[in-house]
Amino acid sequence: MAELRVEGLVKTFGEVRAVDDVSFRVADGEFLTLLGPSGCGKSTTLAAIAGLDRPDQGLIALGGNVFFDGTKRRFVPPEGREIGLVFQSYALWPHMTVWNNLDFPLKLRKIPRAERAKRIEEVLALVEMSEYGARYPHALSGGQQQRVALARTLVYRPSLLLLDEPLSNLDAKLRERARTWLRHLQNQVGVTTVYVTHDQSEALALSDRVAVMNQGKIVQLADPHTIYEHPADPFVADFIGSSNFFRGTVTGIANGSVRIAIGDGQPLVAASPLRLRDGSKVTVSVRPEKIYLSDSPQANGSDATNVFPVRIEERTYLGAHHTVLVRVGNDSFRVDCDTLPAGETAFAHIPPESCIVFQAQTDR
Amino acid sequence: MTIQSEAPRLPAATVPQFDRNLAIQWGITAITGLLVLLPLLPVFYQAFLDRPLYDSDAALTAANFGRLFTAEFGHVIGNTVWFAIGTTVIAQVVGIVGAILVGRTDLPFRTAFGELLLWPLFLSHLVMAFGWFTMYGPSGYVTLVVQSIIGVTPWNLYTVTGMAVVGGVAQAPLAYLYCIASASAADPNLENAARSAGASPWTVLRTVTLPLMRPAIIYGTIMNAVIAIEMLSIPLVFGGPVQIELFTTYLYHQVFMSATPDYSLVAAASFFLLVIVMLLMALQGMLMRNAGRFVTVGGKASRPGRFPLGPWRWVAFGALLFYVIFGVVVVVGGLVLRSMTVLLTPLMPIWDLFTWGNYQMIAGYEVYVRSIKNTILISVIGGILGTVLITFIALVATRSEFRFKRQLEYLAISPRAIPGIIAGIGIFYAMSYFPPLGWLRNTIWLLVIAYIMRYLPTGFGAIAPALSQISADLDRSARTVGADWWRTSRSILLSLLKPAMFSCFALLFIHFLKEYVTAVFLFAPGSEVIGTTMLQFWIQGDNGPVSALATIQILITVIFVYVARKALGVRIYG
Repeated sequence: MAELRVEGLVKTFGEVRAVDDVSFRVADGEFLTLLGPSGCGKSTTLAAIAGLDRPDQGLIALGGNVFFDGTKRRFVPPEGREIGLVFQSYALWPHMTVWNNLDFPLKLRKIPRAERAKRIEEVLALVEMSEYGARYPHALSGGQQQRVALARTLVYRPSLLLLDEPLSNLDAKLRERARTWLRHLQNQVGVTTVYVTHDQSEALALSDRVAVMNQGKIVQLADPHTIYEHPADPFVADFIGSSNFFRGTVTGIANGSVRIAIGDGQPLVAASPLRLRDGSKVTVSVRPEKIYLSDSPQANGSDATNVFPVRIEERTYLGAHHTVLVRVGNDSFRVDCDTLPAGETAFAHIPPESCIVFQAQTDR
Repeated sequence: MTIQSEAPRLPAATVPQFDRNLAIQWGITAITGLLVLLPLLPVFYQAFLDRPLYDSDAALTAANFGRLFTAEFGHVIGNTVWFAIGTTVIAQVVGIVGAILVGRTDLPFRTAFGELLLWPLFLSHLVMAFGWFTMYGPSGYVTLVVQSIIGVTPWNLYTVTGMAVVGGVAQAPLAYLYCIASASAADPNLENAARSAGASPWTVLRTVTLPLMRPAIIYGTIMNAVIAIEMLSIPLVFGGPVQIELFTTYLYHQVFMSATPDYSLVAAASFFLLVIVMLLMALQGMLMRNAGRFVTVGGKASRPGRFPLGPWRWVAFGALLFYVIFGVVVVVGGLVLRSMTVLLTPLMPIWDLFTWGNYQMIAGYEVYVRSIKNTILISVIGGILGTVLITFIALVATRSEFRFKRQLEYLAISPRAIPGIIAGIGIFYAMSYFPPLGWLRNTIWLLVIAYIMRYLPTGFGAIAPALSQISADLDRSARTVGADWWRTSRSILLSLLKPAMFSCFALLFIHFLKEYVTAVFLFAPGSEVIGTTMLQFWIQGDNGPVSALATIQILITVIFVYVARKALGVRIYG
């Protein structure tokens, strides 16, 4: 099968560099997600791979087939690329039945009638839509349309599957089910897949690897666990899950951990592999669920490092847990906890190994 | 299951050697370019030649314009300007007031009024002119009735102002069409907001409703001014007998009334007219550039609220009824009556004058029957060919990666600035310059070509908006599953465009049915159409057969519009 290579991809719209020197590879059968806020360049990258947009520079190749080569002015139109793209809007042809929607790509490939019928039945069964062949798209629910859209791309067995936010038009409950189903299906089919989304939980749940994009660049490309636990910069830490940020200055370094003066000069100890100097400006990110609150400074057998007396400012009940906004000195941060502390004040414990230290931008 | 497969695939990752898509796109562009340039180039060229362009001794000169701008021509321009201003003002006032009354108030019977105000749009100016002549001319039925009551001749249509009244009433439907679309699309919340801020209904109308209609008003004003400038029928019918020359009648008389038409002078005048119209179109483009300011962004579709007129609703009703009866019903009804009488006069009872003679006369002569047949043939064939061409132009211009698609769109809408009379003269010149085109001379194909060129923008205006309603994802998805542009256009877009193509055909059919100006210079024995035959009868003074032909034309239009709308569900004018 095929490996997708994207090298030095650039696409500008007027003055804006929508895609700014993006490179990545997707291994055969791998599921890669392009994740980022709207306008980060993920959809433009996908359109360039599909051939719907002509990039300005770079190289796109699938296996031995070069789709686009900026230096040689080579551009293969979308119909010559043998790839499948599922649109956010599904883009089912409203004047054709489900069956005919699936039949169209097969007819283009001049596949004999019997073989076409066999394949359509096979793929409709795969997406659990066997009974719906005679329906028109407008008579289907959103979830069903999404399945048909996927079936339409799988039916001609493309070498590469591209998915452009295919779940974003489904309601929350259905989205979660479709997500599991989609991942299962991709495993089963084994097709190399590039998935575009702005939904971080989708990205984490589905992907072998995630490329987080911001302002036209890939800021981190790694497996979901690394992306979540070891974000490359504050943007990733903030965009994936949620994070509290503390700004401070390094005041001491000792075997693998640093002491940082935050806010009013309170010391925060953080484990960090970074090589930092005294006086370095840093940003520390801590996820709300990694902090815990207790009524005493010595709870849960932890030592006394990073224990802060806090005042509780706001409580939000979210069903599965509570989110509490607490204040220490001038800093306030959020803590997720299962049970609310009794009083107006409490102690916040921040484990040093849960602190992720980034050098401040100006200090680099 | 694995998707590995030995089944046939498209030739993977290929850049095609021969690209049929490009070939088709270039082909469409070439056809459009030829159509538009065919009439223009000969006019441009001839305007700067001292002899007819087929004469091999012809030399370049600018003297034609010197010969053109004489005192007599200054008079022609003065008349034309006054006629255009009068026509435009009357048409716009009637159209705007009508649109507000029908679209925004609780006027009684507003749906019926809406239809009646729009209907004359389907009729040719020539028919309207004959209708007015029959009823309000110097010996018109209504004129004589009023004269017998008050003792003096109440009005004289044989003046520039008189023509402007006829032109204004004839063009009011167009003004109404643009304004009603804008008025009924207005977001009532904008008016409600002004009301709740303390403005009276009258203030709201003045400060919110009318300004929001401004793009429609500007657009309609310039369209009507252009149409008035290039209008031939009304000036010919009412100005001809008393030697009042307007621009178009000047050209007409130069060509038809002189023994040896002065090619260079006619071309220079045409060139001048073309420049004026193009300047007006450019002005329109400039004024419309900021139209976005007036686009009302409505979230949910809400029914426009209506201004209560109170007791005034019956005053408005009366005024509109008066207008519709005397501006539309009497004019059309009079024409129909005239076609079935020997003479239409209040001095004798109508039943004594009844006759089928006019119709028998038409049925008796092959030329007249042929002109009816030709008109229908041109409308059907031209409508079909035009719809196909326009659809493909729209597909290339808005749904392809063709490098010159913007230019193609401009090319397709540029005939808006080519008056019918110029198109006729230009193609006439082209034929005398390229003898190979001569075989078209006595066939209806010449008219089919000329008409399609003339109405490219009209058809484009019906197809392009419908095309933009079709999500681009639908063709993008067809492209990614392996269909090239041409296949995508055929299998996906054409199927979805069918309703718009029917509308386009209906519009072209109606326009081709009533077109005559373009044909005046181009028809020849064998290719007569209803309009040109009516003009010939008119010049001979045979008003009976003129009315009969006009009635036949109206009848065909009514049947066509009714069937298209009711039976086929085609949308014509919204």
